[in-house]
Parts: sequence; structure tokens; C-alpha cells
Amino acid sequence: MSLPGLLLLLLWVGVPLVIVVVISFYRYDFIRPTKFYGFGNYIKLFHDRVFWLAVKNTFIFSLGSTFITFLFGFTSAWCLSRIDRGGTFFRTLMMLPWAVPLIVSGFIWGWMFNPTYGVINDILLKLGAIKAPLDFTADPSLAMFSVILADAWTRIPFLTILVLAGLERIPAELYEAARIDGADIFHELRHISIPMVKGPLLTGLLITSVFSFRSIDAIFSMTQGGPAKATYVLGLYTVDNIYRFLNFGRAGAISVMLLLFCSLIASAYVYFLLKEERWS
Amino acid sequence: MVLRRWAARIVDHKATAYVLLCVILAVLLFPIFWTFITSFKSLEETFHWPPTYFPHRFTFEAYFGGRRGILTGSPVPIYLMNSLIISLTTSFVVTAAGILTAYGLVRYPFKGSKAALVLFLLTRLIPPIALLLPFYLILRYLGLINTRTGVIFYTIYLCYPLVVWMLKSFFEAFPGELIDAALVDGASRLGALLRVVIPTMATGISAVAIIAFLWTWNEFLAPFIFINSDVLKPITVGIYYFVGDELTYWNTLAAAGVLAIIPGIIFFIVAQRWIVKGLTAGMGKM
Repeated sequence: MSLPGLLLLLLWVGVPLVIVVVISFYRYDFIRPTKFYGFGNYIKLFHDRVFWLAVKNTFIFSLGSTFITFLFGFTSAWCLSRIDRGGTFFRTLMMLPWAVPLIVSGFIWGWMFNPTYGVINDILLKLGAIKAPLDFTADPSLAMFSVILADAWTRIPFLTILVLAGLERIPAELYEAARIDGADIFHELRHISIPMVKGPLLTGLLITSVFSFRSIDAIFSMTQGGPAKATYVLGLYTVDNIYRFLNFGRAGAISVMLLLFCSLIASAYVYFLLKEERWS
Repeated sequence: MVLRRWAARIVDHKATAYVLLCVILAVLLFPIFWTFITSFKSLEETFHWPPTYFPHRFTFEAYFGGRRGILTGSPVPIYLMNSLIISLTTSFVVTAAGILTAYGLVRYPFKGSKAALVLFLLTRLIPPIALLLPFYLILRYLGLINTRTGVIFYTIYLCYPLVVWMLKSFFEAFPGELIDAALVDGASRLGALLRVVIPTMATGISAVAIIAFLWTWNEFLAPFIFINSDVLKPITVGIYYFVGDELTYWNTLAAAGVLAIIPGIIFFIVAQRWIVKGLTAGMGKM
């Protein structure tokens, strides 16, 4: 019964995977005749300043997005696990950013961060946090910060429910026993809550970081990689090579590098997960 | 020490959780609120400084304002229909195929079926953007560039592996005795699946179908690259061209945004519990 399904997976994932690896070894740019190129695309890529800039930006973007997702996701999950009333109500509202397509999220945050008419400048001014409106689109680090927010925003709900599911599985007796031994809330967090949700938490962080690593929608609708390539990431570089420069060989090489980076991140997490399991 | 005791007491207090939740929710929901508010403003008001937190003049002109309204004067209804066609088809195909695959792998295991299931999960870690180029070439070879079918071809790849993984967790929790009883009563293997398993698991299966629908609905890159003609664009791509070089009509852009996020919001409000179950299925164990 499952054979056709497996075949489907093979066709839909295996074949494209092989094609992209093969193409990365070809010179395929619609200018010169297509021919086998060996590691030519890779060598050129490694000497390419834009490529390394994109790698750096991608790591900053992915780390930033994962960190913000973790901060909000863990706090919300912890709060949700501690309330007795209105759980469904709060949880449903918490989920809503998830429903927003990333490309739309980019527009929404872009509009809120708008330097001349944006509501965020107004709020910050009213709170007295800043003296004059900030130009979020012109300052490189502010631009990076704003695309990270737009990306993390839609990822928070997923981490929240994953961690929440883990927190709810911790038996209440553990906390009670800790209380009898004189533990306060910080001890509980450090020695019970966090260690006990490590599995789901690491899984959630893995998925968040791998997903944000190759996500470009929010950047696409907010900054298009600017200002001055300050938010230019690997995914954007891939799309540009397919769509604008029509350099398929190079696009293939970047795609393979993206794949390698993602597997690297994934294997780091899997290593920690397995280590966790051995000790517990 | 005294400070720590005070801090612990504050953090530990029941009210703290509620207060924190309200603050986080205010931050998380503000962008959605702001999109709705902006969509009910007139164009002049969107360029008002300081911005107004509630429209001075509440108007539907961004939606129905004749030539300027997105529902009356723009191709947005066509975009929405395209999104609907692509998402519904994908969701149907992946769920149907996923049910057969997941059920087969769980119920009739063979040597290597465990590995096959893990393979499904692992494909989720492949960045889809890395497969954009090969899919472009395959679709061009098949003559499917600039068709909705081509996009569906790609979104199936996007959703199928995880749909199988989610369904697998549901099927594992299904009591095998029920199936055995049906088989004893003379039902065929497929009959048992169709008449016993699927009806009992209807909510879970529809949650998985909804998730696949939303993933497809939210997809931007593939249709952006595969489709050029305006009448075939889904809403995510259509909305992209609302941003002007010199003047952006923020109220109509916000209105289009509202229409793009409404299906997701409705689904989450109606089926939150089951969607959450589907998405976390099997994750905690990993």
C-alpha cells in the first residue's frame, strides 16, 4: 500500500536533488555553450565577495530569528503552562501570527517600520525611547533587525506549542517535591522546567533555525536585500542567479552550499539530542 | 538574597503569567490589528503623521472603492481564486496520497519501513529553495511553466513529506483491534481503511489537510518564479506587485493583506486544537 507513496517521494525529492547537484558541475549560463565545468562554479563562488557576505548575513539572520523566536516562544509557553483559566483563548490568539504568509508579514512590518509614516517610530517617540524618528530602511543593522523581527514573528507560535506540549508533560509532583526542599521559581526553571523540555526545545530550535536559514520571503518584501546588501542572504542570491542573472550553474552551486549548511546545522542539533538521550 | 527572594515571589505569582501573556499578545497581535486598521483608512489618512490608531473616517474604499478598491478595480479576486485552486488541489492530493502511504507504512511494516518514515521527516530539512532550480528545469521540460499545474507540482513536494509524517503519528495511535475486527467481518484492506479508519480519524485528517492548505496558501517563491501571466498568480505573488516605486497605496495593500491572512485566521480559530495536535504529532518524541 505504501509503495506508490515511496515512489512519489523518490520522484519528487530524489530526482530534483540529483539534478541540482549535477547542474552545479556544469557551466550553464545561456551566454556560452553549456559544458561540464568540474568544480569551476564552486571555485568561482569561493572567490566571490558577495557569496561570503551572503553567508555571513544568512547566519546573522538565522541566529537572530531563532533567538527572538526562542525568547518569545519559551516565555509564552511557560506562561501558558502556568495559567488555569482562559488557556484555549490565549492559545488561539497566540497562534494567529502563524496564519500570516511570510511575504505579507514582510509588508506589514515594512509598513510599521516605515521611516516617514511608520507606527513603530511613533510608539517609540511617545514612549520617549528615541528623540527623532529612526530610518529603519537606511541603517544596515536596523534593517537587519527589522527583517529578523518580521521573520521571527511568524515562527513564535510553533515553538510555543512545541515547548508547551513538553512543559505540560512534566509531572506536578516534581515541582511539589522541589518546593518541599525549599526551591524557589528560579531553581525550578533551572533544574526542572528547562532540563525536562530540552528534547522538544531542541527540536523546535532546529526547525526554526533551518527554516529561517533559507527563508527569504520577509526580506524579499521588506528590503530586497538592501540597504547596500546589508540583508542580502544566500536564498536571495540563489533566486537572483535563477531569475535575474540566469546563471543556472552558479545557482546550482549556491543551492548545494545551502543544502550543506542546513545539514550542518541539523547534524549539530541531532548530535546534542542524541547526547541528551544517552545521559538521561 | 533578599532581592532574589522578592524576584522569585514576583515571578512565581499567578498574576505574573497573565500579565506577561497579555504583554506578549499585545506585541504579537499588533501587526495584525494594524493591518486591519490600515485597510479601513482612506489613502490620505495612511500618510498622516503621527499615524492615527483608529481611522478618523472609517471607510471601505480600499475594498470597494471603484477603480481603487481591490475587490472592484483590481485582479485580487482572480488572485484569490488562483490561491484557492492551487491550495485546495494540493491539499487534496497530498492528504489522499499521504493517507495511503502513512497507513501502509504503519499498518503493514516491512524491512526498512522505519527508515522510510525517517526519510520523510529528513526531506523536510532540505531547503526547498535549493530545489527551486531543478523544479524550474523539470517544469520547463514538461511544458508546465506558467501554469497552475506547475505550481501544484512543486507544492506537492513541499507538503507531502510532512503530511505523511503527521498522519503516521495519528495512525500509530489508532487501535489495531478495530481494524482487525473489520477485517474479520469481511472488509477488504482498503475497505477497512475507508470505512473504519478514515471516519474515526476525520478530525485529525482534516487538520492535516488544513495545514497542507495553509502551507500552500502561504507559498510565495515558487509561483513567483514559475508564473508570469497576471491571471494565474496567487494572492501572495499578486500582492507583491502592489508596492509601487513612487507611491504605495498602503490602504489597498493592507486590504489585500487582510484577504490573504483571513483563511488562516479562520482555520486557526475554528480548529486550533487539532491543528496544534497535527503539527506537534511525533515532534516531542524525536
